[in-house]
Amino acid sequence: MIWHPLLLAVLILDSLSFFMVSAAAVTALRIVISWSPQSAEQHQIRLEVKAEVASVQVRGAGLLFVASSVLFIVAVSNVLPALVPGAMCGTGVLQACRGLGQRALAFRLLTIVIVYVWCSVDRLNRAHPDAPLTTVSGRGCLLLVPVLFLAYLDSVRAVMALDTHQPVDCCAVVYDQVRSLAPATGNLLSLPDAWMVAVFLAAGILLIVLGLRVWRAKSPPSSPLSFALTGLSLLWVPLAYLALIRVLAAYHYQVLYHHCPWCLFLADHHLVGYPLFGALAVTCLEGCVLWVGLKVARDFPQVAIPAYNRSQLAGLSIASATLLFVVLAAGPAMLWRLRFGVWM
Amino acid sequence: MQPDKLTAASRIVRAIVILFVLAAAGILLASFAGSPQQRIRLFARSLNLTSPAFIAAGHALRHPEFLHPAVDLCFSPLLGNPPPDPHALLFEPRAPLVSEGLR
Amino acid sequence: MKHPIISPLWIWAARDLMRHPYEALLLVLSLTSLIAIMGAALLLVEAVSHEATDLLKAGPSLVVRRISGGGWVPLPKRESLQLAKSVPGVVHARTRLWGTVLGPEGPVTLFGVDQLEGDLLLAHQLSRRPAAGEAVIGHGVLSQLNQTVITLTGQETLNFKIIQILEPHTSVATHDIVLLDATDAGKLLGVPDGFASDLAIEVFHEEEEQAIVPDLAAAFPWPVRITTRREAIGSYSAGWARLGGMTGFILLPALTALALIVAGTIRDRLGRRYEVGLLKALGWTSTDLIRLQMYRAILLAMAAAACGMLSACLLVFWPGSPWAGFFLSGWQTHPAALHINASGAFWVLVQISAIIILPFLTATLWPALKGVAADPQDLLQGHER
Repeated sequence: MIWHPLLLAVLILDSLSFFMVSAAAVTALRIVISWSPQSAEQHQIRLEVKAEVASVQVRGAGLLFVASSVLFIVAVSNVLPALVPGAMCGTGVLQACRGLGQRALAFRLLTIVIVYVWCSVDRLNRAHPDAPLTTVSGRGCLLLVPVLFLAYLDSVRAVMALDTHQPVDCCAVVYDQVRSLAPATGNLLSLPDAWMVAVFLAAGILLIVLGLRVWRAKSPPSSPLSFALTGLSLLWVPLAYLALIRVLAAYHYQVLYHHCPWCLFLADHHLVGYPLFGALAVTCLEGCVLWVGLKVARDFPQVAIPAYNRSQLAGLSIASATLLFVVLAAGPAMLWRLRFGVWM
Repeated sequence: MQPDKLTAASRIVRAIVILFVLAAAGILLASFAGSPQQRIRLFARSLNLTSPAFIAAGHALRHPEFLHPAVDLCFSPLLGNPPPDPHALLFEPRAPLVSEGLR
Repeated sequence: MKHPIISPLWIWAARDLMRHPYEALLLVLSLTSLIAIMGAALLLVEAVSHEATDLLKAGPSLVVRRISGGGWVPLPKRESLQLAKSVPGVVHARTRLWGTVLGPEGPVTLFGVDQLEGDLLLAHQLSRRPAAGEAVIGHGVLSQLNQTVITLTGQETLNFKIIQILEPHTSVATHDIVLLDATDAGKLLGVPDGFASDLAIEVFHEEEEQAIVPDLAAAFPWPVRITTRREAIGSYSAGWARLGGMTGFILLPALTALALIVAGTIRDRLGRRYEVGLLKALGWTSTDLIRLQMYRAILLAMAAAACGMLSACLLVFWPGSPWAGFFLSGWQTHPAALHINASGAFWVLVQISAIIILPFLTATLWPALKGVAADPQDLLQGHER
């Protein structure tokens, strides 16, 4: 373990958010068991008040958790590499966490997806005085508790396991991962680089066009178009990640065959990893929200209009995030080509 | 509610905001006026310095070159104290060594 | 009351603070002291590791020292330079003549300046290279800087005429350093002519530092101890980060106590439900009431953050202030001057926000939520009963 104040800050924020979500989950359980919107009994009125409180608690917990996740990523990518012998970037730090760091990050990502979708549903719920989505958001809160607990637990374990006495070799890890990924993932990774980038760009442009169409639609967006946008955004995110790591990152590093995602977060590369991966996260989250918005609009007519409006906003967010990613990821490659007349 | 109290309250808000902004600006300005890094680097390069002068001369942390390899690394001040091993805290570590020796 | 910039709720929050001025003052004081102590520790850690890393990056990649069973022994200059340069990967090698000797006020680090080093320094830092019997001293060597002679005790005791005192803002590198002519330094350290204390080596790429160590050790016919720049940087960063983390852990009970007191006070205040009921009956929503409590807490936190960070900066960076180093890391001597760096101060503020201010705001939010989410009729009737 390393006693770094940034890790202490992460753990304190995680503890607070877990505490708040647990308190809200007690109310959520009561809502799931005994919510009856038609009733005017004292029990129901008290539950409605408590539901309001729980909503603020989960939103507060979500904010704290997102803040702690950003600090965790900053710690892994920018602060801890200086303390782990042999680590040049976050890859070495995760190696020093004996594999627990990746799990913590995966659970954190999943928690953020659930919190984000929950917040969107809660916002729609608060848009109508009858709060028709209260039971749905109660179930969402109950789903959030175990995932957030696992994220919290794995973060604590990763921090405890962090070994600053054993040297690591992060470049070896990157090369091993790329070598071992190739046979395992089969066709997609064995796709020629040029094709992969072409598919990534074509899908990105399609995503921008579809996102803008959903945003500009005068009537409620049609279901096939919106579901296509959701599906495409969720498929595009892994494709964009692979295209970035396998091909386009080389133009940022100006080194061939360096397939490291964490080096993009370093100050040497202008911290470009933050906007790049932030844009990917927004595309993924807004894709989920778009689907949830349409589902809510279909199943709960009371909140259909705000749900459609939210879906349209999601279309705009997806288009903007995709555009940002494409420009930032492919920009250096284009500049290289213009400058030297060849691809790397 | 007297109106003059609200005027005082608005002054307090403004004072707190101004204090905060001034503190942030002061720290920022001090950092710009701060370190003559170029000259410090020049000394480090010229004298081939291997440690800054934060710790008094003669201490092993100041001069890591003084550490002799014959001294066990457990006692190296360059290494932080390792976290306590729960097994060592809960169980007697000597027992297996003794039995190994007997064997 | 309308104000062009400040929302009326902020003014109401300040008005609410004025109702209990001593309580607000005590809260600000306790938050300020927590932020000042934590901030001083974090700023000290940040400044030391930043300055150390910056300085070490300008220094040599590796240092080779000849050792014997009892300690270190001088190495022959010409032979060791030839041997070092014969190892593939070594770009540059220089000998160093240095050691620690006793000064008038404690140990000092002594450097022998040869012609090469003298020329490089002369152009930028020194008025002239110290000749035999002369010394250039760092700002922290003597407390009375008007002295003209310094006595140093090594193998022999010798007096030197001080020709220059190095500027205090370079004291990160030169605080307790004495520069002498190489022959004088050799006499004090007991190093004969043609010998040096150790070798400073540069390699082409940072990655080679660790890889070249076995080859380098094998190139010399005597046992050597090789220290790398990376392990020195790691020791500074990790060791000092530990101090920051430890301070955070030590302050956790105080922080928890403060959060409990804040939560208890707000719960008591909102327990006087009549006031909340009245405001609600007048048209305030639950959100307004929660915002009022949060703005109140944010005003306190802003004042405390400003005062706490300024105090922390003064404790760590004020010229000649030894407080932070003395209390937090046991520096017994007058410490070298540290300098603020903007990104470091920003990250310290982020860490303080996460460790102190956000828990404080959560402690405010929690009872406020419980207190205001009730029916105004119940609140007013509860008072009448």
